[in-house]
Amino acid sequence: MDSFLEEEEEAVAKSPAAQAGSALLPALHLPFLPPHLYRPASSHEHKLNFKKSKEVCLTYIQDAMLQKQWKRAAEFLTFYIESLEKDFSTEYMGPSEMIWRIGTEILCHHSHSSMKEFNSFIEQMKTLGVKRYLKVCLEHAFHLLCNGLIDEAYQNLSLAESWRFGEQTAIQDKEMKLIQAYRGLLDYYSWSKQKTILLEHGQDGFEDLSVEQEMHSCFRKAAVNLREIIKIPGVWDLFVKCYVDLLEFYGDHNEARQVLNEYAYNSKFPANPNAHVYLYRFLKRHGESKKSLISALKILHDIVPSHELMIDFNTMLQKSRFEVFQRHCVPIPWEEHIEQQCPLEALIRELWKQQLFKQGSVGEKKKTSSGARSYFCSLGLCWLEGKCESMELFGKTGETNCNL
Amino acid sequence: MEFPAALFPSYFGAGPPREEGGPAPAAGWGEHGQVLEAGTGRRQAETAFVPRRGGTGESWEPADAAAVPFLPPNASCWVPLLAPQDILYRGVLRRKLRAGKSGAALDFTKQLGHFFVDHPEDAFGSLGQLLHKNFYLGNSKLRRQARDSTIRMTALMEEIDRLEARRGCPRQHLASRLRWFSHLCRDWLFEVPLGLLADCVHEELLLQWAGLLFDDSPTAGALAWLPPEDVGACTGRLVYPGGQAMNHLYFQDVVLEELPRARGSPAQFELNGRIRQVAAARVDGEDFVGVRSDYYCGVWRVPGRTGAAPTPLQVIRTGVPASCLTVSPHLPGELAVCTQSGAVYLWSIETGLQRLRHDPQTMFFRDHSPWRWSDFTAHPRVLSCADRTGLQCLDTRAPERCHFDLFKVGEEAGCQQGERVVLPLYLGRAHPSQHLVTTQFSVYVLDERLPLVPVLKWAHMMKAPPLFAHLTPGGPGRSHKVLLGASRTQELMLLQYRGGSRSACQLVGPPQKLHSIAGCLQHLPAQLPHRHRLLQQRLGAPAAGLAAALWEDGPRESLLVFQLSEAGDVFCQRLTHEAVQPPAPTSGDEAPAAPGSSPLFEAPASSPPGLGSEEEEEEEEEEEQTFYLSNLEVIINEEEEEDAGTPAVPEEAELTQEPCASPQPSLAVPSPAAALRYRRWLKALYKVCREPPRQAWPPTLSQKRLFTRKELEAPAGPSTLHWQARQRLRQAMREGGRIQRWDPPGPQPPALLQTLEPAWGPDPLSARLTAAWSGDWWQWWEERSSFNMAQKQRALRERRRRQKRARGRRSLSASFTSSLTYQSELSEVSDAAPPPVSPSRPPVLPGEGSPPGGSPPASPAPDEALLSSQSLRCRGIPKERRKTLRDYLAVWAEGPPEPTEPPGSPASQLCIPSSQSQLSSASQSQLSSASQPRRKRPRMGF
Repeated sequence: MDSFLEEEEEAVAKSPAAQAGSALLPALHLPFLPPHLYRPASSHEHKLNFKKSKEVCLTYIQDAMLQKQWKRAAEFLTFYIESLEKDFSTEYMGPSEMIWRIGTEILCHHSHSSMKEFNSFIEQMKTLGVKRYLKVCLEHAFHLLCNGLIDEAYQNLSLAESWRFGEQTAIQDKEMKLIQAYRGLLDYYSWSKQKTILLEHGQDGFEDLSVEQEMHSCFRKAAVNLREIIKIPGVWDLFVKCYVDLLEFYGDHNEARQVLNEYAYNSKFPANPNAHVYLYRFLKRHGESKKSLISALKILHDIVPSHELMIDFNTMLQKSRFEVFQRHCVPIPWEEHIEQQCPLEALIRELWKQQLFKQGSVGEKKKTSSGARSYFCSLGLCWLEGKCESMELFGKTGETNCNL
Repeated sequence: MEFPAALFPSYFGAGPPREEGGPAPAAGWGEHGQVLEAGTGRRQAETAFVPRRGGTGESWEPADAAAVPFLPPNASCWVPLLAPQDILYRGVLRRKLRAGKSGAALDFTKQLGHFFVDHPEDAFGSLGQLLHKNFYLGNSKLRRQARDSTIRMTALMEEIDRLEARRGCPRQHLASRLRWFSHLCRDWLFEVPLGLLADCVHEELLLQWAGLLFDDSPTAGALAWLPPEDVGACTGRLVYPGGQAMNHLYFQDVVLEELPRARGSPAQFELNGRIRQVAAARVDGEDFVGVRSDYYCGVWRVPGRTGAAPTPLQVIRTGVPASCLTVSPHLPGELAVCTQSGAVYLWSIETGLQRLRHDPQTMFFRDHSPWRWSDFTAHPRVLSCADRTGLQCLDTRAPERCHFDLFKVGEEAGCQQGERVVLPLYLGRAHPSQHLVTTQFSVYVLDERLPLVPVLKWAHMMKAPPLFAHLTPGGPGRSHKVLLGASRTQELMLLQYRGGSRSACQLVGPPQKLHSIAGCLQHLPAQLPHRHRLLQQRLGAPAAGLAAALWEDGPRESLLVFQLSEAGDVFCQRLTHEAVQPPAPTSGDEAPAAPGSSPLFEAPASSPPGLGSEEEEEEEEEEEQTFYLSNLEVIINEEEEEDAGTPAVPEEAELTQEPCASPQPSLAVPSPAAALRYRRWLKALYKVCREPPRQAWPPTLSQKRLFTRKELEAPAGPSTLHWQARQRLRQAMREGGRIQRWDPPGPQPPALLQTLEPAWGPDPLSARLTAAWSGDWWQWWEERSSFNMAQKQRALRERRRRQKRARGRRSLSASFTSSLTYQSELSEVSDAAPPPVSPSRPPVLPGEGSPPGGSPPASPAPDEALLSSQSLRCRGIPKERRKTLRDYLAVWAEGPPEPTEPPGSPASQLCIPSSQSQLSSASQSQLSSASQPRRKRPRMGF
């Protein structure tokens, strides 16, 4: 019990470091502030402190791991496990979490570890702490997935999904959503597998009702879980792709379009270039009008001017009105030139030629002559100034062309 | 340049960070983060997944047991940095402070006290001058008439001395006398008002303390590697600071080998301040090197071909310390500069400075740090600007309107509370749109095309914030290597990541710790304790820079990592990567460490490899033993010692030792070449760092009991020679040295005037001050100048008279100096510099004509003059003490036997004792030169 008190005291002693605003605090909140800087007095009472030896042991483990001496780290870890006996700490990361993390890392790299050992270790870890049960489950599933054990991972995820313990914290809620989403993802993969089977067999003229039913149930399970996660702001490329695929297969184009629009244009979501790519591809698959296609690519052009879809964008713009073209496009076959690494001069000449040609073809000479010049200038200057390796000339600088 | 078709899933939130930060020592381990479908899995039967962290990376193995000195030690005796115990309070209050949990307490009074003692002129200058007559510090009683205007301070001084001794005593009371005095004087005694001074000192203390906790001035480091122009070549350049104040910039050609070596001598520039940062980038085959010191930034151009001299291009001066200098990788001669006032400049050699932003406030939320940073991005006209709260990109053509947020400390990147940006780095050589951001907890990789969402995040677990980072880009299909370095703890970490264009970014391979400079201490030969201490301090100095060079030698690749310490030492280590062979199990795995066997006893089992070629066999043995000992020593562990021992704050060096304090499993021994370098470096270090002047003085003889001050005081108008002799005597006694010979004083033309100044008046300064106070300073000056005129005339007259007299005695002095000079020269000498003697000098003094000019040595005259019983008596020294003094001085006068006689000095053996003096034989034999001139003749041809 006295050690418990001691730890309490330590925790309180450390807390000044966390308080903000004191003049004695550094410009930066330091994670591993040497404690003696805050407590200039260290006395005999902590000499044989359990906590102290714990810390030293942890230092040794870290040291060994950072030098890739997994075996040595494992030996030290066996000693460190003793620290669990008095784990009353209120610290941010308790010993049980550290043991889980360190043990996982060691087992991932240790030359003699096997999947069986890994699984049994993780099962023990799951029982160690309630707070991070979901996290451990999720990581376990990841490990299984990376090792190609998809079925085991699926079982694991379903087990974790059914776990209930009191009131969930925000973080646990997020983890639960992720678990469900990954399970949905695996459902989707089994759905698509059955789909291929069914399609192949369907070509043979043979239909298996049970396979079809199973496929539909997979669809339902996947769709429910995936729909949930993509409502939450985040980067969900994988899930969105799968969900849209499901919807498209079942002909729910409106829902798919809505999902993609949401994913691309909702301001709560990050400015993810892939969201626009998916939307554009979807629209293109469904033969949408050029205008909507162009508008779908407009933002992508702002974020990633060097994206491969910009070639499509250019061609589309070239076909549409010239003003629009002038404002937005980069009218040279970039890829080709960049790959050949043609000299700058030739590139500009090419550009100029194209520009003149365009003027002629569109036939709006009054406007275009000055426009072309400024356009050329902007491009040429950019290149002359830049000579940059990348092709991102107009990214983030929407006003560039107008200014020059 | 492609964008990954799918990114790893992640949540995206907005607002301040929700996760509570805390010390998380193992936060970086054991997580895969997320998984992603690998490639286009639809065609495959089974979908494969790749993790965000934990994929297999390249194996880079350290080639040596420790970092090896790359250059000779920096030619300066490095002054150890400020340590916590210098400014923290350690006293009775300690317990109270601990109980109050108020953390560190700055010892403010000590510092103020130091100031008063070290700079009394600045602290009490004018009033001290005015009042010094009214304060009496002597022991004797004051005379009645003096008591009116003078107070005796001796008791007060004793009280103050006692106060120091009583510190810590619970029954201490402030003496009423002290309190009385301080109340009386507090308002007027100090040159600078005490409150103001205290504020300044306190502010400075706070600054020092903040710097001790975290110093951001060396951000990005002062070491740069300029790679060879063509890939195959192996001669690059290292740019580093050096010199005592780290204000010399060196460009050193370096040949890459197993142990890289410097070629030729470096090009050197002396700068106007301590070099904080050296940044370099290559544009069009030319390297541009930017150098930042606090108030100056400069740029150099280094032509690509080897041997071409670097040329300085431009220097700018900033009013506020600059905090950042980066060199454009796109355009030649373009740099980004930030100052602590919150201004960001684009600095072009051709067009000058362009201010892009000036905002003393931080960008996303309020943070008090004035640190700013700026770097280049994929677009040559777009710069990234950073402060502690995040990163923004802005277009230099329209900096106000065109900008977007790249990184925010907040929920967007999943940051912790209290997390701050420490160092941003543009990773353009790995991928044009990637940036690295380090914080004190984590390291992030960002993509300009997907702002705010880090494409990679990892908790680096370093003990100090990573202030240095270096990127070594990998080719297609290879991983990019990122080195992170911390300053105070010297930590070095190697990370690998890949992806960014075709596939999403992944952190691959386990992170790896590299050797720190302090780690080589255990491989150095055994040292004497004080030298060991010196070494410990020197090697434990905080790191100041980091650079790396990739060297390809056939199938084998080496990564040479250079590390600079604040003492100016450059160390180097090599990591090897076998491209062909499968990654071999690491040495740690292979070490047959049986469970239960303590690594402690494994250490000395193996012996270092044969070093027959080395000449010093003994030293090698010693080295082996050293290692053994030091290993044991390490395990005994400072932590316990420091607890058991002094309750003081542990030393800096021990602090930095801590991370590498773990027992080593296998005995790694430096290669013979490395061992040789260690030895050479040590030798050079001791040559550079001579023993500092000894702190403990040799026991001194107190002269207090011998004579009272009064007794030693000259009666009326002491002769200059007397005075000088006494000075020398005192000095010799103070220094505890010996009086080897009585050098006559050097030519001192002003001495004449000084001695001629009337002894009766007040000293000129007081007179002047008094005059100034009463307002008739001008009159004083007039008086003085006219007085001086008269004085000078008198002096001149005196001199002529003396010369006449000297001419009469020329034969004496001529014989004395004839061995040295011709007659004509002699007269010139005696003409040129009149002997600094006052007319009242006793006539017994010999050799008066000889002294000044060429300062012929060994004139024992003052000795005799001082000690002749007559003179002693006439100075009121009692009889019994005369004997003591003579004996005492005789001991010194005997002095060391002089093996070679200085030219022109009389041969003492041949001298006949002077009849006038009754001193002991040793001094007798030396003093008679002048009175026995004829004996000098034989010396002529000597």
